[in-house]
Order: sequence, then C-alpha cells, then structure tokens
Amino acid sequence: MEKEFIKLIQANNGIIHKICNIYFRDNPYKEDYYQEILIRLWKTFPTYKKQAAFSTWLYLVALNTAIDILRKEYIQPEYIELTDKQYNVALEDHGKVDEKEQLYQAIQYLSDIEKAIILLYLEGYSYKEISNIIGLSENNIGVKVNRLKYKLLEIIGDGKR
Amino acid sequence: MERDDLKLLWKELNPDNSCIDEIKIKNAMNMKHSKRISEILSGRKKEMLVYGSVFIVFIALMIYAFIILRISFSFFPVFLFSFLGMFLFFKTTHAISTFTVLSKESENSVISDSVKLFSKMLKRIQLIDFIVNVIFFYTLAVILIIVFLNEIKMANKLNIIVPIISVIFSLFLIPWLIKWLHSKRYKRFYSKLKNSIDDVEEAH
Repeated sequence: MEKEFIKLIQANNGIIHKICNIYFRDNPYKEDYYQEILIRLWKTFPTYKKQAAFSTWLYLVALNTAIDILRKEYIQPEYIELTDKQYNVALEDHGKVDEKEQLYQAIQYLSDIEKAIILLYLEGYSYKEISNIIGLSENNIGVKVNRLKYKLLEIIGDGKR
Repeated sequence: MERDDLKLLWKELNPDNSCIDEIKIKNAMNMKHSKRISEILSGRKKEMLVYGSVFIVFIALMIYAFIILRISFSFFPVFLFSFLGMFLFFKTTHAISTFTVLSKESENSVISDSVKLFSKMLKRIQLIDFIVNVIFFYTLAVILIIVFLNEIKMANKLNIIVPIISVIFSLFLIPWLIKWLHSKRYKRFYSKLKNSIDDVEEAH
C-alpha cells in the first residue's frame, strides 16, 4: 500500500502544489501545510475506493484539508488578516506584476469554496465532476463558474488600471 | 483579456512538471501533523491545561476554606473570589472549546457537506459551552446571594426586597452576560466559515 501511495502522489503532486498556491500562496507556512495535506492523504488513503479517479479523491481530501487548515489558522489569536484597504494597497504595490501573478492575486479575493470551484474549473474539470467534489448541483456550479470568471477578470482589469 | 484566456493563463502559471522526493512523502507518512499544526495544537493544549489546573486548584482551595474549615468571609471578599473564579472559568472553557474546534478534522465528504458538518459541530460545542456557563454562573449567583443574605441577617437588616431584586437581576443578567461573552468568543470561529456557509446556502 505504501508503494502504491508514493507512486500515486508522485504522479499527482502538481495538484497539491496548485491547492497550496491557491490557499496559502503568501503564507510563510506553505511548506508545512503542503506536508499536512500529504499526512492527511496518507491517513485517509485506506478509504480510497478505486472506482473513482485518484485525482478526484485527492482533490476532495486535499481541498477539505486546506479549508480545515485555514480555519485553524484563523481561530489563532495572533492571526492578523489584511483589511480591504490594506489589501488594495498591497495590490497597488504589486501593480507591476504581470498578468499571471495578477490571476493568483485575484483568486485571493474569493471565498474558500469559490477558490475550490475556480481551481477545478481552471484544471479543466467538467461541471458534473466539479459538482461531485463540491456537492452543489451542476446548474449552480455553472452559474458560479460564470460569475467567478467575470469577478476574476474584473479584479485583474482593475489591477491593470 | 477574454474569458477563456483564464484557463490558458492558469496552464502557463502551473506547468505540470513538479516532482516530489520519495523521502519527503515517507517522512510525511510517519508524522501525525506537520510542524506548524503541531505547534498550534500543542499551544492550545498547554493553554487549556494551565488554565484548567489553576481553576481546579482555585476550586479546591475554595471548597477547603468554605466547606471544610468553615471560614466565614464577608460579602466583599467572597465577591472578589467569585470574580477571580469567573475569570478562570471563562479562560478555561474558552481554551477547551478552542482546542476542541481546532483538533476536529473535517470528514472527507463533498466540500459543501463538510462545511455544513463543521458548522453543526461548532453549534453543538457552543451549546454545551452555554449550558456549562449557565450552570456555573447561576451556582455562583446563588452562593453570592446566600452570603449576602447571611450578612444582612447578622446585621439585623433583613429586607425581603433586596434578595428578590438580586434574584431577578441575576436571572436576567446571567443569560445576557453569557450571550455577550459567547458572541465575542465565537465571532472569530464563525467569521471565516460565514462566506462558505453563504455560498452553500445561496446554492440551495
């Protein structure tokens, strides 16, 4: 089982990196959280039923873990979150960053579930597959994806101006 | 930028060439939590143990002084002890509820379900916390009223209006006080969850 797990993780490692980039991009503990996701994946590996693709199962566990970690961080008394005003200043400071970086920065504006939806969409998953991971209906996912795309383009557009 | 360019941009940002060392995976497989998460959990655990121990010692001393040695204090020192007891009790229950929430891990169900489950679990912890607080605060109020009554009885100034007002005041003030403390305590817990719950509820 260990060998199988290692092989599967090596083949799908990019997914964990993308999730970490979406949820913990500028977090100083990003590497630790990457490791935490790996730990949770190993702990829950026995529950993986081979009927579904491994990547789908991995998204499910890793996204749940990332959202869990964010909650743990947020409940910490020393946690400091940027206000909207501070965030705008931070965005202005990064005004010179290219379009690619702006996409990541725009994603930071989304809620935890929205981040998961847009990640799966950008990864090329169909609405049905996204619906199976997120647990909302296909129609809802469709509406949300469209709304999120506009939202992201708007933020990126504003950042350029 | 066109809407479909987002996917292209994403692909450029994330070329599929990341690799991971086998040792790194094996290390993770032997761990319970990562360093940061362990730090968070052990920090909260220590806080819970320190406040819990101090509170237990405090209660033991109070029982020893008031019940075993039967020392009778006047109302003012008892009021001060109660205030200290309330502070320790508040800190202990806060540390316990924070640790309980932090140590829970979400189920590997679909994301919307785990958000709902987490919210349900949080409400349950909040309810238990509320009940424990109500019991503690009402017990304290009863003790204070008894001490107060004894004092005015000894001074031969017994007036039925004073205890009645105290009881009514306690009955109304205690739940309000607990509610206020809870809104402060759980505000942080819910604020991060709120957006996710809104997303789920909006879709249903």
